[in-house]
Amino acid sequence: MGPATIVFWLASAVALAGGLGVVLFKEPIRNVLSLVLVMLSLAVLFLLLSAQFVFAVQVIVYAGAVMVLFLFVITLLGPVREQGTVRLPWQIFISAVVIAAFAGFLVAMLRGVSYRTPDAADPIFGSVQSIGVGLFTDYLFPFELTSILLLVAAVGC
Amino acid sequence: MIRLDTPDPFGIYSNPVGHWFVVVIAMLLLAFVLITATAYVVFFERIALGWMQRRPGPNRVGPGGFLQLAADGVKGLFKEGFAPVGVDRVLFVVAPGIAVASVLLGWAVIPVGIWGSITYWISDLNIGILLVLAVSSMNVYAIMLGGWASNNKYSLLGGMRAAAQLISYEMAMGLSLVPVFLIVGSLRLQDIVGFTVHWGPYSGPIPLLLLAPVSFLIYLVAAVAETNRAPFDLPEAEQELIGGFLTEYSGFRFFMFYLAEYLGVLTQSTLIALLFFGGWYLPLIPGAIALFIKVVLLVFIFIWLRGTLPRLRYDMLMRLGWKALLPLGIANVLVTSILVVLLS
Amino acid sequence: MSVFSDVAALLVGLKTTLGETFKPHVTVQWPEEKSVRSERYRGRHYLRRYDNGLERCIGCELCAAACPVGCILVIAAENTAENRVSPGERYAKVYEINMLRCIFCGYCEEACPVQAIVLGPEYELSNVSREQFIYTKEMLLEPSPQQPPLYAGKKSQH
Repeated sequence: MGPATIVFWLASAVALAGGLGVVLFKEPIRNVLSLVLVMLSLAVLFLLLSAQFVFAVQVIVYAGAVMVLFLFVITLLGPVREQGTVRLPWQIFISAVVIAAFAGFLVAMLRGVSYRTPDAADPIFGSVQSIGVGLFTDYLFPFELTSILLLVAAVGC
Repeated sequence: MIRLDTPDPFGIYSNPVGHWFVVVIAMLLLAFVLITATAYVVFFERIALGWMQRRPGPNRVGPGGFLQLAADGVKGLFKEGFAPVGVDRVLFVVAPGIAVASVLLGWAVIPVGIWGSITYWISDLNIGILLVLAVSSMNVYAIMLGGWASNNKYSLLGGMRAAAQLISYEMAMGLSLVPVFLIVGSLRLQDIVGFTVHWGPYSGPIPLLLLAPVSFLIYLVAAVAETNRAPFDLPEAEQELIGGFLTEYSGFRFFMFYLAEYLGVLTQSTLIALLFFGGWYLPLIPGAIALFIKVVLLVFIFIWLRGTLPRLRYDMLMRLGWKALLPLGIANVLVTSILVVLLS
Repeated sequence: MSVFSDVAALLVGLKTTLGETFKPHVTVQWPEEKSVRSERYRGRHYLRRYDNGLERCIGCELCAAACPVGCILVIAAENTAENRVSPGERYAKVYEINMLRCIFCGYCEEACPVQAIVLGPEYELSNVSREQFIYTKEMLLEPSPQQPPLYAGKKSQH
């Protein structure tokens, strides 16, 4: 087990713990911070996959900007614990069904997967250059479409 | 990773354990140097601000006041770390740690020239300066959480202001660097420093300030705003918000925020020196000394701005960020791209 | 263009502070240097003597009466032929000033008919206990011309 494997398991464990924290904490601010933790451990996983640029963008955009806006709203609420008041009828039953369905999907997806050692990444894989070349050649149309979508969203609201 | 252009005499870098050993020693050494240097940034600021106000600044402790910061540091360490009633204990303690970590982490990719062509850095990432931007954007969490956890309305307002300010100026900061990347064609700070031109008879390194002056101006303003220093120190505006997010902090935890602020000044000065002033290249002067001179002058600019300009009003801050720097940054990117394409 | 005039204004400000940086400092490095006291400065009190060594104070207690905070205590005694302390009939056997109460208004100086009590230029009067702020007659009295000078060339005595 090399250092990369150790880092992978650590980052995955932190990501899962963060995900559980998002659902289980009662204070909204803890939920947001758990989500930040998920984002940061995902960034570490990207770094493990040699996707350095995606790592940086993940940290800057998701952890550094989007989650800050979440936090911005949540901090105005003050240190209040969210209290569950009424439970939906059949809540436990419905959630069990949903969980079972998603677990089924996951199992079905992972059944056919066979694991192998990854190819040796070529030196420019994941670098800024390869991302840039990809965006402006193979993926130019989706890229421009997305930017128009973002522009419309930014102007329209 | 330390790259020495001399051959590896003991084979220590090729040995994995030896490599990690060297890296850990290098990181500890760098952290020690940085924290000591930060203390002297504070000292330098107190002296320089004093001179601007025609007074000598601290001159009592040690020769020329040189040990003032040691005295202040020891005093701070032994003060009570008071936490008021109703604070969120965990976040209140974690926030100063995030502040220091977010600034220190950026130094992983900042190369420091040592002597001639020998440079020193911890990690050689392809994304280079993006890592610095990424980890320094974590600083906003320290300020917001510190402000929120303090259970004080002034702290909270300081934290909110910090969040809005840091996000606004991060955009301008990132955009101002794009022309530099376009000109150099790399995000690694080593490449940016080592950028050379071949203009007729002259062939050698050139400070990028000459090629991207607008970028330099935008970056300088954004860097002052990112480090929360006057005239952009709205998060801790003493007159209106007592101390902003710092109001309830004392003792060691206050010192960590303080350290983070001045470490931020040092980081940004070093970055500007590397990005726009050619880093460790200066004719006839060895690398480390050349970089040192540039960093000291840039730190002086930070102090000079603080000693001169009054704090911006909040709406002026937002107007400057969104309506002046951001459009200017976009125009700068456009013009530079066109020029790069035309001239290459 | 207002942008250029604004930037020019910033530059003027920066030039001003840079210019001030290299001008000489105006700080007085107390306690090595002392700032100059005005002649009319009201600091620590002194009890004066005549040139022949006799005390000026005649124990009339007008200073104590004039004092708005009541910090002066005078107990007079009769001069006798063997023990002549002042030229008048009486002299101050006890003369104490509580410096913690004194507000340095100078009314005692104005009330004194013989100009015995005066307020001098010394202002470094801090001390470590309340008792030491009660200045006795021995501390206040000017040295006799026959005795070696007590206060000359020294900092404040406690």
